[in-house]
Amino acid sequence: MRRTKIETIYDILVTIKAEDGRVRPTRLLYKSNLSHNKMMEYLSELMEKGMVYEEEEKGKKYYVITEKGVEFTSEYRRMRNFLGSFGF
Amino acid sequence: MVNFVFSPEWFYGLDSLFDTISIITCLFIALYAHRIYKMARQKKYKMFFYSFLLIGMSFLFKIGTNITIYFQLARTPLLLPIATVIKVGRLYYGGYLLYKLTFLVGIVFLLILSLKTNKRRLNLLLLFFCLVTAHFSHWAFYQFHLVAAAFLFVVVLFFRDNYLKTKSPNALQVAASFTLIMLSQVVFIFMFLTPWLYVTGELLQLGGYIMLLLSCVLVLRK
Repeated sequence: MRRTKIETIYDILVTIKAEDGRVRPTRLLYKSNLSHNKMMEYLSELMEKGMVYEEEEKGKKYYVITEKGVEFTSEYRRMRNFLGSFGF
Repeated sequence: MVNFVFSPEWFYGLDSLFDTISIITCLFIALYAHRIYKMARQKKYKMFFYSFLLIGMSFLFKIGTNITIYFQLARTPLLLPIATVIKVGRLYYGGYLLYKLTFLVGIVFLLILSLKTNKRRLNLLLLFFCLVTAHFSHWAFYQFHLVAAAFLFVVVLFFRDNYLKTKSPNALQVAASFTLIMLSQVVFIFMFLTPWLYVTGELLQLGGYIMLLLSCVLVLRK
């Protein structure tokens, strides 16, 4: 089944969180099951919203989840549980 | 003949207190559903928001009408003057029409969500049915409760299936609370027989909304 936008965003953030809060773009691409273009589109939106930021270490690029991003994953999980209890 | 009050005298006001708890539950769910809609921007969550908002509003109309009628009747002598009867009759019709209409449309929104149907014509037909029921049940109040119980029965089946699929305790609580709400409507069908059935229906309804509120609070606290 096709994921909605919010589900995809949640999946991206959870993937970063699961990798100790920062992830390499290639790893994220593999884990998020998205095309490169789509993933970059989502990441730039997440960076704009302050949920993710980009950092470089020894010439390698990483995406790091922010406190706001972590809060979003908790809120989304709560929201999903709430809707799940109604079956919606 | 139209009966204006179904409640026993000692229960006046208590039913409004019970209904206030139902309003709190509905508004709590509606507010959270609105937050979800703001986040996810999906039409079904907007409908979820409106369904509980309308159900909550329906109790507001019911309380407003009941309180006005109780006071109107309490102030007048045993034999009501014709002008009072007409005034109370109009108020009863208008107030209860709004109550029945908002309640039924709220339930229909839940029904549409549970049936996962997107057929506009069917939805319009259901809404028309709500309007017809709300109007014609003025002369036979049980019709409104009969239709509400039938709609709720389908919603309860959906919540039961959801519990069987997920086995989640929260889904069980939602299914159980809606079963109580549906049973209250079944009891209300027969309230013309004795005022005690009105009290029983109100108690069942209160139990349903308290359980629903608790299950929502618990799931959001996790």
